[in-house]
Amino acid sequence: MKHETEPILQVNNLVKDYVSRGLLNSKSQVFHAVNNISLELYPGSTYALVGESGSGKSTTGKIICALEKATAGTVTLLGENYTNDSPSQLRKNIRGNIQMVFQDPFSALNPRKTIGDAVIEALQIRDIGSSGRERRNIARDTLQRVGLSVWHMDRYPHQFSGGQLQRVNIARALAVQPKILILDESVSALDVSIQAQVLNLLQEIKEEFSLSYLFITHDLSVVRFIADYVGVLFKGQLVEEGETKEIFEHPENEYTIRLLDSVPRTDPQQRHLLG
Amino acid sequence: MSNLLEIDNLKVGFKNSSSQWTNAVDGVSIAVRPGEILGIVGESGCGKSVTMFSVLKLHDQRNTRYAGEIRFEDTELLTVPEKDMRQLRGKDIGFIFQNPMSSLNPLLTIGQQIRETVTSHRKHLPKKEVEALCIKALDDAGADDSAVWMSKYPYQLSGGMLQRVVIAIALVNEPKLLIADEPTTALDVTIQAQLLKVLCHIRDERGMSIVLITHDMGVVAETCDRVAVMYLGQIVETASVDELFANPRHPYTQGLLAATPPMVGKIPERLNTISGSVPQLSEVAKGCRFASRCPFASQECLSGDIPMFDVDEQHQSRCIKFNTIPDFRKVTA
Repeated sequence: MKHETEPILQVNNLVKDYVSRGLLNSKSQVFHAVNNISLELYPGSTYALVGESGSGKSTTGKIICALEKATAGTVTLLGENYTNDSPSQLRKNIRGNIQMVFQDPFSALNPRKTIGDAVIEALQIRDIGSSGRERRNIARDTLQRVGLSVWHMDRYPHQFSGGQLQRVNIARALAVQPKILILDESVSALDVSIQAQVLNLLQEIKEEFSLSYLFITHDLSVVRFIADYVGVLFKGQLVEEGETKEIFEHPENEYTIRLLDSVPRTDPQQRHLLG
Repeated sequence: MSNLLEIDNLKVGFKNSSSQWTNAVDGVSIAVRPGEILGIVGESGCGKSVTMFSVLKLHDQRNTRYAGEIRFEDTELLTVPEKDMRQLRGKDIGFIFQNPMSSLNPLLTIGQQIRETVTSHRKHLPKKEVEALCIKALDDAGADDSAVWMSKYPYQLSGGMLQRVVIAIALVNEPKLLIADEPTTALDVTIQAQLLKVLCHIRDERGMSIVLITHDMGVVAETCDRVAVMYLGQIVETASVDELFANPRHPYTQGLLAATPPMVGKIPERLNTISGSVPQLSEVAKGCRFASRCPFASQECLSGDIPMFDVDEQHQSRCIKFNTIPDFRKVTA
């Protein structure tokens, strides 16, 4: 991959081990959830991490978002290594720049807070806006940008559909002006017509807000649509990466080939699964 | 050739906490032919599972009311006594649910659970024969070591392995009809491919019929012979799978197809999506239920209930403009 700019985010030889110790035997077992992963995210691009359950894609996302500590390796944002930063350093330098959108839009929101307050809370924490009125205006504008209305602001999460709630989560992430969004299966729980709306929205705001995306998903048709680069994870290791078009048309790794061969084609004339 | 299952003008109503009835399924008519795989597609809440749950009457009967007819071979299922219904469940009609973990009893071994399915329908079968049937069912479902699996508990197997067990349980009594409700949705795509292969292979071998409930247009394209598309409790289009994908004649079907990111061909800049979201059943107005989201809707769409129109003998659409609407996929591209 050739690039004219420096990467905005760099992951170097990342390792995450989980150690389990039995109740009776003192022998501990080590599970390498993430095993020596390196990747680069470039400004304005979308990098998709794909893999099946247990491949380590979410763990990688959480470490980048500093929700988990790495066992070894580093993550840098604009050249600054923040892997071993203290919580207060993270709050100062990282939290506002890297935001995460999770899979289940409902459990990501506080059921007792209106969605307006959910966005305003994020602004308060990041100290954006000088007054309550200004914060409310920013929240309103952001919610409107993702397709919600002013009168939605005083409603509670249970009064929304899943697709609308995911828009709220995107708005809340967007409101603090991040550089990077980590989207962990963010459209996987949505119905296909709603998923399409949210994917279109993500495409639009990427340019508008100069964002870069790390897209974590198991859905390869979504990857083909949204990603510029793909990294294929298998048992904690990055087995293949490259430009999306290249990987989809000329996969080289055995696992990548198997994965791509397993995806149903959306045209009965091109059936291939049943051989 | 007569149909194996015929659902005729089925209405399924549920009572809510304030004792009001809502019809989650509202006038569904569909037939399942011997040996075919019929796909039922639609988004969450469209009534696809409710329709097929009704075939086995799996709803809480105190809060459910049925109207219409469901005929399985010569039996009218909606009026059959519960005692006879139990003879059909797991014997002539098998059922696979989405989540294999919650379909199985965590306290019983796999073997106990498959054996139970056999012995509850054939009480006097010798033990050895029961065992052989169970092993064969697991083999057919693609288990790599059936004898070992029999002694395992559910927590000892992975999700994909458990779904094979569930398939084995559904198939051990050689049903004539298998209803599979999102059987691969919770599984990884490589496992999904294997299980779809298993299901299609067994269909080819035994000539049973399968009703496949799914939201995934890719799964439909790969496996089904015929498709019924549901929206808000009604079937809006039925056709052979080739016809449905090549020539969709209902705007909702077109929207679903357009919203699915393609795995082949050109990658679109934007996905053509259906505007808005599915309204509440209680908000449904007179006329076409899709009208509020339809790019082609006009006054006449709201004037009264829309019947199914024949596009041709094998293709029906619940759209008064079925003949004139352009292909949504091309219009908004």
